[in-house]
Amino acid sequence: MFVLAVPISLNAAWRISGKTSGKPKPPVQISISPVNTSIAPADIKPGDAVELKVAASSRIEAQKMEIKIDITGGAELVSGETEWSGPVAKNGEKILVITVRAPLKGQGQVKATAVIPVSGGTSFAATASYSLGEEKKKDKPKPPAKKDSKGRDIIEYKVR
Amino acid sequence: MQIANCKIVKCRVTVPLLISVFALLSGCGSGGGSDSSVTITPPIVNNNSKGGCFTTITPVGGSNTAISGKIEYQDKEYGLTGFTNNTTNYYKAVRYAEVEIVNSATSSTIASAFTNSSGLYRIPAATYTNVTSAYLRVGSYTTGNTNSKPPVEIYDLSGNLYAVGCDSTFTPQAGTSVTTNLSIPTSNEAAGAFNLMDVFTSSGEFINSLAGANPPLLNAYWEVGNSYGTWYCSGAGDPLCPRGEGIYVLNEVNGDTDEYDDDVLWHEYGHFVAAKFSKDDSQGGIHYLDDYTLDLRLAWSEGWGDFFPAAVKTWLNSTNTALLSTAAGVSASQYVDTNNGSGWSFDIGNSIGAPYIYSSNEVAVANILWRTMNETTSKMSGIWDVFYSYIRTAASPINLETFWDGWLEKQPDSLETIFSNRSIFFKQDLCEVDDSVAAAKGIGACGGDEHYLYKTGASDVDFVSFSANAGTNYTIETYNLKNGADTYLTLYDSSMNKLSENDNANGVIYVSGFNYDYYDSFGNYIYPLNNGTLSSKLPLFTPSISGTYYIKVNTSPNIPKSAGRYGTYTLKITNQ
Repeated sequence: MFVLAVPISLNAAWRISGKTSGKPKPPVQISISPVNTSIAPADIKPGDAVELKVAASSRIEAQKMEIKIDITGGAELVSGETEWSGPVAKNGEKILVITVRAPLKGQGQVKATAVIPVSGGTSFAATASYSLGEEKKKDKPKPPAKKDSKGRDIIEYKVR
Repeated sequence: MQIANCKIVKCRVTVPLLISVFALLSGCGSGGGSDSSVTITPPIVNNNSKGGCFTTITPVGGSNTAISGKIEYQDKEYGLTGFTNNTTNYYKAVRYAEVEIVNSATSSTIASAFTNSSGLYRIPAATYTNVTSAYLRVGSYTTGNTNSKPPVEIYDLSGNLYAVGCDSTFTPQAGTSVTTNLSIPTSNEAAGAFNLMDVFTSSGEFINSLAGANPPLLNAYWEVGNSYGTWYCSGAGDPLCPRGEGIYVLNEVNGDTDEYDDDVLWHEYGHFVAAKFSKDDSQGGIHYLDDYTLDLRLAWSEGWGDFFPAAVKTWLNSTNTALLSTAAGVSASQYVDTNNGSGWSFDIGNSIGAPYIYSSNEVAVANILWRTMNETTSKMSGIWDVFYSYIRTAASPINLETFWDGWLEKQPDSLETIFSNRSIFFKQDLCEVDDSVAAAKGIGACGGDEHYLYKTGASDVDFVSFSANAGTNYTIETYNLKNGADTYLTLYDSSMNKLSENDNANGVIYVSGFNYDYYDSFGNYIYPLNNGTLSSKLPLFTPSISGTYYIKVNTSPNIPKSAGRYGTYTLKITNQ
């Protein structure tokens, strides 16, 4: 069977000309998201309780996957388990559901880490974070650009 | 002018009255004595030995001002699960960077020099007229350095170079020696740029030791809040590479940051080296360490990138361990990526067995390179010889097969065992020689039905004979394809009449740009996975005459660029 060669995607040109080679990815992934998928982070007001789904998945079979959830910045755990450990199948997933209350002031953080220890100096891990509460104040703006001795633009940061 | 609480000291210094008053007051806080041999030590702006600016002014006579000092930055030590707590005095020299003395009033540079390998700089004695206030500044670039060191420039995403300047100033008085030291703590917004510069300088020096010349200029882009990712961009025109070619480094607020992940930075530098000194046909994209179905070009490129940090660290272990940031006990073969207070690692030297096998898995490739570096007589110089002298001009596609061919041509040691340990068999199988009907072996006659498509300098062809009974249905197929194999089956009768043929059992002929070798709307590169997708299956065969028939297996003439010329397959004939 012979098939004519017809480009199917015209956006290939820019992609091929500027190829990116990213860093390696471990076979474990983790994510944090509201159970109610219609909730956006901006919808969560100070003091609100929100149910969060922590989903850890593994592309490899492992005798042990450990999940740990840290809650900081004034956010409080209302219910749910913040640790889990157990085997995971290839392409398997473990979900933990917790309810967290946003702080009355400032921004709280929920950080979840999944770790698969492997022998021989290898341990795969993934970390995800979810912020809730008042948005953190933006960092101070960059200093204005200056010129160096060769006329190039530089941003000069000070050290005391 | 505010006069600090201090003791008046007399100094015999032949300078104008204004300067001598300054010199007098500079004695506050410390110092003593009563004649010109006394060292005048003005108050140190920052009493900590680290993290700040420290200026001392010493009268030396004459009419010039000499300025010198040391520049360093705070690094972060890392172990297998992330950064250690060893940071307080963990400072390293800022090497080969340009230091400027800036006129505070006009912001113009009045003098400059480059730091050496110890972070020391010295500006020749000179006279500075009409300069009442100056400060020290160091830039995040090594270009133009007088030591012929690798050129590196670190920019933010707007295209500005980073610089760190002392908040305190001094007056370059005639007849004095000014020592201004700058120590950049990790809390400074530009600090990460200096680790990038140092890490890329080390790898540039490593390449110089192999190539006898510096790499070309490396531009790297990093900024607090850059949440795109860490990657090497080979060219312009990609929205993920807004400033064109270079290494982009991740910094997610409250998330993953890579500016102190030396192994991650060296992985990307490995791609830069491949682009500049060798040949890299990878189409890029997401790649998982456990995936052994990758495009062979991607597996080779990423395997090289995984190996490169180990090669640099091995070299630093023998030349300058002070430049390493690994905690005690972390070996060079261990790759670490920290993430928001934690981290993960894998050991390319000891990741054995599935899934780290086949030429379509990057860890297998990295392991091969690691073992080649450590277990052969030519070691890293042999790898470089193949990488630079052979692969650079080899025909595409470039993958592990290319490295094998180049090593076979240029190096004395056999890599067969190292490859076989990764279930990669670039060698003749037990049925060889079976390149003709006359030499054909019967099905299963060679201790199994697994065959290797491999021949030095030519395309391998395997002939297998089998006896078929008239009226019986036979299914003839290849399966269990590994190492990028792409088979093509042809069936002949005993008179070599072609009876049937098949390229791919799925009925697809892969055509570049049509049904593979393009990017979808999500930016994913589309290609047939090396997971058996390219197996072959002849139409059901029902012979009308009993007798001996022949099956020819060879690499497909329509092989996609993601597959290999070599590879392993199993032939199966079932009758119903």
